[in-house]
Amino acid sequence: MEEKYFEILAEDLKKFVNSLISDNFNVIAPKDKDGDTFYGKIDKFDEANLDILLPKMSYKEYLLPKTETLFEYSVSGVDVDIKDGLGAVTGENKKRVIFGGRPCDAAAGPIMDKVFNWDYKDEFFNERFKNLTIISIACKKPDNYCFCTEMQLSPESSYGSDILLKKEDNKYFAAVVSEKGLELITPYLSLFKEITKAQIPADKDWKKVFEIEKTKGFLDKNFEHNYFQDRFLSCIGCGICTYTCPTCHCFDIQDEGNLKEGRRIRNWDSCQFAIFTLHTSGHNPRVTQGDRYRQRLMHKFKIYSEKFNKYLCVGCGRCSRNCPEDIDIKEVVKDLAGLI
Amino acid sequence: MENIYLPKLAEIKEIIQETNDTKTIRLAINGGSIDFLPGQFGEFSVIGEGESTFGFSSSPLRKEFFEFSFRTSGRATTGINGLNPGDKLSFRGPYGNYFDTVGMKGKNLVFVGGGIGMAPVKSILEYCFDERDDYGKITVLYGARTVNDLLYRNVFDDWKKYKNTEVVITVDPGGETPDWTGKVGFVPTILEQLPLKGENSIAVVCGPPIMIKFALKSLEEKMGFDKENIITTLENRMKCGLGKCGRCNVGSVYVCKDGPVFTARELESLPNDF
Repeated sequence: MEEKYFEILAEDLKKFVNSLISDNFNVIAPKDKDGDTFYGKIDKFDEANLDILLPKMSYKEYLLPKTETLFEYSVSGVDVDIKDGLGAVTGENKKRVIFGGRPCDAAAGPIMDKVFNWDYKDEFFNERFKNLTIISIACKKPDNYCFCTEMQLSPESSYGSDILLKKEDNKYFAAVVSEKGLELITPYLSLFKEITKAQIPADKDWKKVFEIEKTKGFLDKNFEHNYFQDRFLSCIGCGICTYTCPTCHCFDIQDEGNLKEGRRIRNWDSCQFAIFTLHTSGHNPRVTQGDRYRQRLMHKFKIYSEKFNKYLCVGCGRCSRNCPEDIDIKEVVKDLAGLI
Repeated sequence: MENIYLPKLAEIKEIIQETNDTKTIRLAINGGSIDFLPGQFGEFSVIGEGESTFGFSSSPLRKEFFEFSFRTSGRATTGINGLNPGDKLSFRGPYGNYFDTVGMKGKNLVFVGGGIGMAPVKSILEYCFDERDDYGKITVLYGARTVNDLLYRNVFDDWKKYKNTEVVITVDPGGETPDWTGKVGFVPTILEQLPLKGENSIAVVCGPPIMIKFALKSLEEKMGFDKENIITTLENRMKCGLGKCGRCNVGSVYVCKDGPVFTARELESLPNDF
């Protein structure tokens, strides 16, 4: 749709969000918890922490929960009764709004969407994605771990958001970029003042430190390069990079329960674990932690991009910020782009 | 709205104890087989014990059942091992690509299998038997470590009855029994003794990696098979089978979607990630 532009006073934004909550929207926002900040459900605007650069985790779990029921089963004799888990997702999902997330987190939605729909359609993902309306706030000061600009986005990118807010003094500029976004604000339009695109402050000229496209030349030819083994010797394989990543979507399927009743569940999994690819025979195609970190890099910067012409990374830097071994993916990708 | 992870229930029609630790299970959904093609695979499970990935081992042209073979080794296969005829198994599939049965028409065919790797080979082999007139000479070479590790012993004689067909069974040195009448020798060694030529021929090879490696070398270097005409199947740990869970890739190739059937030419271009 054609983008629409509005201006809203900070106090009216508060009214808007509080109205969404009282009108029964499930509003998820950065929220302080135990000395950290996570995305979580807020019951009033003031619970949202809009000052934090990035919450500890992305809001991936609202698209792909850490654990979800694919179906429930109960067995009696040779009869098996199966209850489809999709019904619960459709039921659970009253309209959800992500408020105050960052552009990098918003970009992860359409990036994961490709994986879940490129062939077989994953309706668990689709139901959640469809019912999510995303209001992001542009970043003013990315930190040293951030590299969204290098990842073909920017601190002011609206890719994946329905509405992008930019704060200026005591007001926000709002770019409404999707039908979903417009539909969300329509009942509350009295709080918004429509303006033209020209009245919105132009994006800053964000500078890139490296060209991500240059990683291709290296990754295409150097699968067996020592870099992968040497650079990640310090990696302890904890998998926090994949857990905190907004785009890492690899999952495991397990049965939980007993032979009489239980459920088949899908859980987050990680390419950083040896068991991820372990064969029944004991053979493992990815033996070393270097092999496994290489897989993560290849998946993000080569395999996914060959298939979907985008990267499986939004440059949020969470994997680096949370890494117990200080492996900084920005530095790694810079190495790859600079051909090491 | 379809839940792609929801299995169907298949009824166990027959269980064949192949060896000490391997069995073949024949299944039916709605009283018969399902539509699939040789080379494809499915996700099989005793509900409550988790899913496992197996290739089909029967010809899809035999409509009364579809079958797979498995070795009991972990939680899921131990669960399957405990089942009896009449019990139900959860099944998703068929998934993946398949052997080019059309492109194989009019060609001489060589089928090489090792151990339980014979399972997908049996599917395409029996498919070709079912359409016997479409294909040239058929040579089957199947080997296992010992006589007692040979699967499908109950159908060797059926295979031999087809016209213009040679069936060679071998066991590794030391794996023979006093009454063994087949060959003794590793599969690649016996392969080199067979009068095979690459021209107008297609070879299907499946077995342990070391066997595949040497069999491919023999076929290419000694017998003049083009890499395009040597076909094998890869296996990797899988969960979804649908190109999403992210673990079965070899380089940029997903075994579940782009495979499991590959030519030696395609394998050549893959990185050492398997």
